[in-house]
Amino acid sequence: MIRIENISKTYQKGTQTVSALREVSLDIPAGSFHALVGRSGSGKSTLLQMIGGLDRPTGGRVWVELPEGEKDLATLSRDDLALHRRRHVGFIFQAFHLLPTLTVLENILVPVVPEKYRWQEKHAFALELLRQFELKERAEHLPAELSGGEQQRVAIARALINNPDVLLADEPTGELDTQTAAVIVDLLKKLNSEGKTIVLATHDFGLARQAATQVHLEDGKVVRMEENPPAAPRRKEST
Amino acid sequence: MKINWINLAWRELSRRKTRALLSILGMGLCVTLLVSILTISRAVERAFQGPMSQAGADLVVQKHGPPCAWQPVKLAGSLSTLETRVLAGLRQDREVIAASGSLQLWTFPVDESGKADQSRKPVVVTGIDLDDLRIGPVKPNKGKGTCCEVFEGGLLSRDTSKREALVTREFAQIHLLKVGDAVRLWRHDFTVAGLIDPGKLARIAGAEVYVSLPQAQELYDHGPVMDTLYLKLRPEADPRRIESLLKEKLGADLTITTSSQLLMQAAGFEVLQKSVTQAFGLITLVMVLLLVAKSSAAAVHERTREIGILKAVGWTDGEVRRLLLTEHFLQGLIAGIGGFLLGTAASWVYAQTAVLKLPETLNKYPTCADTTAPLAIADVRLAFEPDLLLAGLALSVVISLAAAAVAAKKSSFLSPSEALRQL
Repeated sequence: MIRIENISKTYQKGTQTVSALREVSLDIPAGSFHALVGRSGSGKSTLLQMIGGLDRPTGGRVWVELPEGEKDLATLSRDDLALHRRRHVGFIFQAFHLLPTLTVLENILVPVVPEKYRWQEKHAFALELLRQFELKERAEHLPAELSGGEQQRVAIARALINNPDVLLADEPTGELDTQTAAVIVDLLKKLNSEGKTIVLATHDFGLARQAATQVHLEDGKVVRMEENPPAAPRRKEST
Repeated sequence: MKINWINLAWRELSRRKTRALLSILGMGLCVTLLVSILTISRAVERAFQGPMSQAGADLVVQKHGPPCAWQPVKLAGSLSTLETRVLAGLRQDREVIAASGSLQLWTFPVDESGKADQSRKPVVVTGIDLDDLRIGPVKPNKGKGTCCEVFEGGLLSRDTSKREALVTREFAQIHLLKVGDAVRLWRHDFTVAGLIDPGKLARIAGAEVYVSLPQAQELYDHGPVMDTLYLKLRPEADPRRIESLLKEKLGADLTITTSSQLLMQAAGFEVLQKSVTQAFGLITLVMVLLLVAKSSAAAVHERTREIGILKAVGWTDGEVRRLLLTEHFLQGLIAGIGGFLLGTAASWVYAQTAVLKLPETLNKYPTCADTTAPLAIADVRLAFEPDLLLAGLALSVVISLAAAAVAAKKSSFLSPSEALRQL
């Protein structure tokens, strides 16, 4: 469960103060699938960053339920926040953000490089993810040798390597063609069906409709929330 | 293969080849400069210790004056004489292990009428002190080892009434001399007692013919004199006291040579060059440090994307810093090893071409002598200097890590959300 209480975020842009979020409150139950929808500049990516602990709100609280109890992300130190991201959150970005010098397998394992223990276990899990995402043959390839859809699947595998509770996806299909985007959406829905909490930020209303809940944002405020009827499973398409 | 800090850092360096190579080149050149200067200067110092160590002396004392007019037997070059009576006193001094003297003469052949025989060349003769053969121009012996093996015949007789000589192998070959033959020095015939091989390397008061000091004094005919005094001091000796003592006994206008002064006299240019190069080395070091630091800071800016991603996937500031430090450590290590190898190679090239000579004051040879003047300092021999390897590595790693500290500080200010916003 993630509980967002009246969070605000302001930036200083030159002499101007920009309000990216204005007193947003939202509950994201564990295992839910939320889509944050809005135009560019509506505050959806900023909200996603607050939820994931990539940034701190200038006001309000972000409570996350963890095995050790509920915690306010605003009170965590930089290092604790980083460790929270590593252990409990997986990020998926529009531009994939894979490290170009590392192979597919190595990219998946990047989050666990600083970990001293359970390396064998993580390595085996990375291979299992590659198998699940039909990337096993690509394990030793560099990102530049993959298609966009394959790169995004690698990014999703990287987000899953620490078996996080929450997956945060910022325009995950933004750079993909329709067919490939559908595959990624199916993958996210499958992960959600397996119990992962998914929050995706998108300006694509069609994609937002794939989520269970749509949260509409405008000028940094939640203006509307919609529950979507459960959609029929998509036919699997190749990338 | 387990992906770890080292191979992550290595991939990053490989990806940014130009930047990494420029940094490595800058630091490597610094190390090259340091290693080559120190390797060469140490080798030159070792080479210049040769003549003093061959003479077995810590101090060589001479007195110079205006060259005297031509005589059939004259002092070599501009040397003046010193009284040999000081030797006895010096040998009694508590700080002196050994004291000895030599007298180097040029003897010119004369014809029956006593006039110079222009058809024959002068002979360089050195009178050696048989009272203490531990130090001096040559230490003739019958066995192999320290200079110089009498490979045929015997040693000089201590009977000063006998006119005997040791002649060098080269001189004997030119003049077809054998043991028992006579070698003519001015108007006197000396019996060749033995053939000696002092080699062709630099030798203080080296000669073609060696006789006993009293015989040389008789040839010169100016009483009990010498022109070079050799002193071997105890380790705890105070050289300034000895110097004062010598000046008191022999006059203030003495030239006292130690191995370090020998280096200064003979390799003054080398020493100057070393100082200038060291100054340039220091300037280069500071410039390289600034450039590498600037380059590393710029690299962090270029790598906002990667650093943002690493932080987004849960790397702490310390872990990002560790990656940057590992990259810079590798860079420094490569630069250090490369710089050491390059510096050693540059020193080797120098050693192959260097021509070092003993100052002529320590061995004045007539240019028209039959044999080669023993002035060439032994080859500049390079030695593996592990402390320089360590110093080179330390220098480059320290420069690199100092630059990394700048980069790491910059990266720790980078928040992942800001980094991702810039993408």
